Amino acid sequence: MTEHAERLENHSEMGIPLTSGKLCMWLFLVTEVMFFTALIGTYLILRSSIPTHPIISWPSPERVHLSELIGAINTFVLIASSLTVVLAHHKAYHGDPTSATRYIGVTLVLGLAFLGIKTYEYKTKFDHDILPGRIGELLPGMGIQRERQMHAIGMQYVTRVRLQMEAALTREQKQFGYVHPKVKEAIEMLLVDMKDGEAGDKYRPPLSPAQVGERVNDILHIAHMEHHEIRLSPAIPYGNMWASCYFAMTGFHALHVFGGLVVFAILLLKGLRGQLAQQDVGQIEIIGLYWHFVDIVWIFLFPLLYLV
Amino acid sequence: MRAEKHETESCEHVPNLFRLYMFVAVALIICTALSFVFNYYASEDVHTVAKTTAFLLILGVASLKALLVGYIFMHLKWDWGKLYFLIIPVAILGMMMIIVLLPDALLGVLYDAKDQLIIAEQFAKEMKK
Repeated sequence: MTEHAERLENHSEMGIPLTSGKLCMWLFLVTEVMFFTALIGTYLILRSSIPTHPIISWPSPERVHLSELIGAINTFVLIASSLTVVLAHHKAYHGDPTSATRYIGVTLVLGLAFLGIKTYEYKTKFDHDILPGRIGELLPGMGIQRERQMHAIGMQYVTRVRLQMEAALTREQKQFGYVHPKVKEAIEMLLVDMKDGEAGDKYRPPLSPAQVGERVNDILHIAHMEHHEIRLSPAIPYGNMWASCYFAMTGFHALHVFGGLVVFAILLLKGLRGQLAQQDVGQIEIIGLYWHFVDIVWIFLFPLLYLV
Repeated sequence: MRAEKHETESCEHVPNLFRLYMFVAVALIICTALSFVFNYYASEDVHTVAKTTAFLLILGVASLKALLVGYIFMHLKWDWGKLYFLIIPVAILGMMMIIVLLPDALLGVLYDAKDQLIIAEQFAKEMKK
């Protein structure tokens, strides 16, 4: 053996005993770890900087219409999909492409179910107007200083809510020819109180943004009790910050789920055409690694957003 | 090709791997249920566990779940020796990122939030008068 050939032989013995694909996936995953650590870390820091007080506190899941049950179902769905991926790899390795294809198909269905549930959850946020920049930040009892700080945003909220209430009355009347009397009465009273006027012989100032926020929450409560759907921006202190964190974290996670599903769809097509061969075992393992990482991210997002 | 054979053999030769996967899946579901139990006992209706304690317990359970997924499903049980040089630095950097940001959170709690509470209390007193 020549010296050159010997050097080449020795060179092939060097390095990590991993396929380049698997190593690349792990390198990608460690960058993803940093990405999600930044997101989750920022969320934790923002959340911990809010005091725990009956009025001023981080929004509870119930307050922002977040169902623990839906979160738990999605957790179960992702755990089940993680299991089906490893089983697909297991079957493919042991030369059973039919079962492997079946498990990939189940994973795809579970991933789609996850995204479907997430879409439903997003819809409830849109229906209740729990979106970044649209939620009222002030409620009575939060202090004059905070009211002063947030006055400009508060006035924007007052204008938005006034338009929403006027539109709701017109729309409901046009669509159904009927607005629930209790809701209608509460809206009309609030619309009057939002303007300045006279109370006896004294000047009556318009309601402050905090007072409007409280009255809007009362209207939403009445509508909820009467099973009457109405779209009004609620007043939830720190609700905008919560909504930004929620949509950023779950949105990026959902994008990752979608990316994984595209690869599973390709593998499924390959399997259905009978083209899933022994050399695809490595591919299934690599996409499996990605999928498990997506599962791990959700494992942390679920308790942080849906539980305490 | 040699490397590929080596790494795929690393876990698939393990006997009862299927059973191990099923065991981990069941453990993950039990852990999720456990998180709910902690959350229930910290809820305002029951409140037998402090919120902070429940929060830490739930995060502990989440970490255990993540470890199970990483260790078995991601094959770190068998591949750790080949990957530790990637995972350990990123784990340290991840923790450092949060630690570096912690002073901001602590200062926020100490100053801004405390001020707000004092103002809120003063306002409540004024309202009572």
